[in-house]
Amino acid sequence: MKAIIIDDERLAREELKNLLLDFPNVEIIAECDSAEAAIAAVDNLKPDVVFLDIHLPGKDGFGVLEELDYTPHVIFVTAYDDYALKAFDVNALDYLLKPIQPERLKEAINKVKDAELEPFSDSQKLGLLNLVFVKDGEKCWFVKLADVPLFESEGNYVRVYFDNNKPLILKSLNNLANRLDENVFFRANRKFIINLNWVEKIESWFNGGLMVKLKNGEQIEISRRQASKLKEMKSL
Amino acid sequence: MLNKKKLYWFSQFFGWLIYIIFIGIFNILTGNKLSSELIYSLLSIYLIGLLTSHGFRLIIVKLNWMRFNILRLFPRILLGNLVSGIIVYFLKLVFIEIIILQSFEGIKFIDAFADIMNWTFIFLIWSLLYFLFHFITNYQKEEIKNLKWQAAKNEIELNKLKSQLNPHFIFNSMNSIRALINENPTLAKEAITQLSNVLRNSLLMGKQKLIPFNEEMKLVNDYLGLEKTRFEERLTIIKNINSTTENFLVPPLMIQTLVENGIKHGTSKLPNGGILEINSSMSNDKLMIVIYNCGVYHKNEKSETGFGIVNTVQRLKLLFGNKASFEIKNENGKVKTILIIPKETIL
Repeated sequence: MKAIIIDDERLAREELKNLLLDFPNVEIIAECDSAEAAIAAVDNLKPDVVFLDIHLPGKDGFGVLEELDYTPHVIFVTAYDDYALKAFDVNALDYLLKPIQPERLKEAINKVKDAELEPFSDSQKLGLLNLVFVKDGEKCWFVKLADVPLFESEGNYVRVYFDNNKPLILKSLNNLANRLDENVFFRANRKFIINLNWVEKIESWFNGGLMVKLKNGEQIEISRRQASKLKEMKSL
Repeated sequence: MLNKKKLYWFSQFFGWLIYIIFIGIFNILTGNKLSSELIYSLLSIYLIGLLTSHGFRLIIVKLNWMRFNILRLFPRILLGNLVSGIIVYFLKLVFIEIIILQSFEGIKFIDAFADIMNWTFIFLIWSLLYFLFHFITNYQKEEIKNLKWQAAKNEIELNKLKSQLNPHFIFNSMNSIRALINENPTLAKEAITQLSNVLRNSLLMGKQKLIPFNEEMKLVNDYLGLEKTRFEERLTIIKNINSTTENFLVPPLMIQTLVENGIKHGTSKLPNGGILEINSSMSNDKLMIVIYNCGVYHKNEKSETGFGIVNTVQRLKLLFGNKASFEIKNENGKVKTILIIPKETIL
């Protein structure tokens, strides 16, 4: 399990490193003391897990997550039960309080193991088992891509549909499309990317296009060009 | 306000009603018959009393007699009552003697004097009740104001306690110390001593009203020692303490709070850290503390710090009235905090 430690205090990083000595399966591939360094390291090294201090100089931990192209499993580390953590759905995260208790660290690491996140290599694109970090005002989520039926383009932003939420993330749809596994996430037209696992029904539409009905009730039109691509892919 | 008005009219209507009922009963007991003349006379007295006293009240309100103390109020009341008495005498003369009884036989000085004195006395009682009511309600208002002030004071004290023990600081320090135990046991021991001092002083000093400046600086030094351990080379501390300021009395934990804010918004927010500078000097017999930290002060930021600043200002006001001053501003790319404390408290 590849890990990156993100904390601005050297002693805090040392402390965590010492504690992690007891976990031979956790390999520390980088240490970062600032938000900028963290963003670069995570996107380049693609760790399985990051230990992220919420209070960083410059940008806070959430700021780091928002800018990542690739979202690893995150274990938050903070000195005090933070108001910032309340932004999260309780089940969606794990966090450790400083000074870190070894037993709690063990639990957190086991959670990461059980989370069955897709191991990530350079060539691989984001699949159903990968996460996206989504922040909408004060609320935050880690969303498994399998739970996202639909992405919608809104100018420089992309609207992420999941459960009953539709928050925006600061990414372009083209950028996102390049990073998603095209076998699952299909570009229906200029405005939408759909998750093919969520398709309920496909009907023929005008001009050789298709109309897709998703399990969440949304209906999305597939342009003629993309329709032939889909037919080819799925040999319909 | 509406209730007070209602109460006034209620008292007026029933007060005068009771008065004429008594007069009526007295008349009947002394042998007068319950004639229509008697009833008309009583009704006239009722209206005359009601209107004259209400007129008197309008004058009280218009001239704002409520602002006077008793000594200045009393002669005015007496004069007002006498004038009211004279007015009632003449109104009675016109309405009762001339119009109703048609028994006017000229003015007899003795009777006139007795009647005017009688009515002056009645108005005196009226005034007594009126002003007594006002003084009681005002007194209650003052009492409520006092209680509110007390409550505010208690709240400030409580906030002071709350802001003293910053959990982020405590747990971050503990975490640093844990790491130091392996790396540098001597430094770890020192840090534990410093942390104990900070915790002990936070608990004990809070109970005192004022402490010598050098006592406060001992706490600040322990605090800064811990922050230095945590931030290492990212924190640079500069101290210019004038020896004449050492025994000056200051509110406990106030300077510590300001230093802590300086680090929280300076060093800890900057990837490359920054300085924290404390200066103390005497200026016009007052203690002047100037703290510089790196970073930018955002005036309208709603945060715990904003709360800390509000609390500092409130504490200064409670202890020193308007003689202390507190200012925080951006200057030459740094944040400058100026605290001026006078020798005397107002408590």
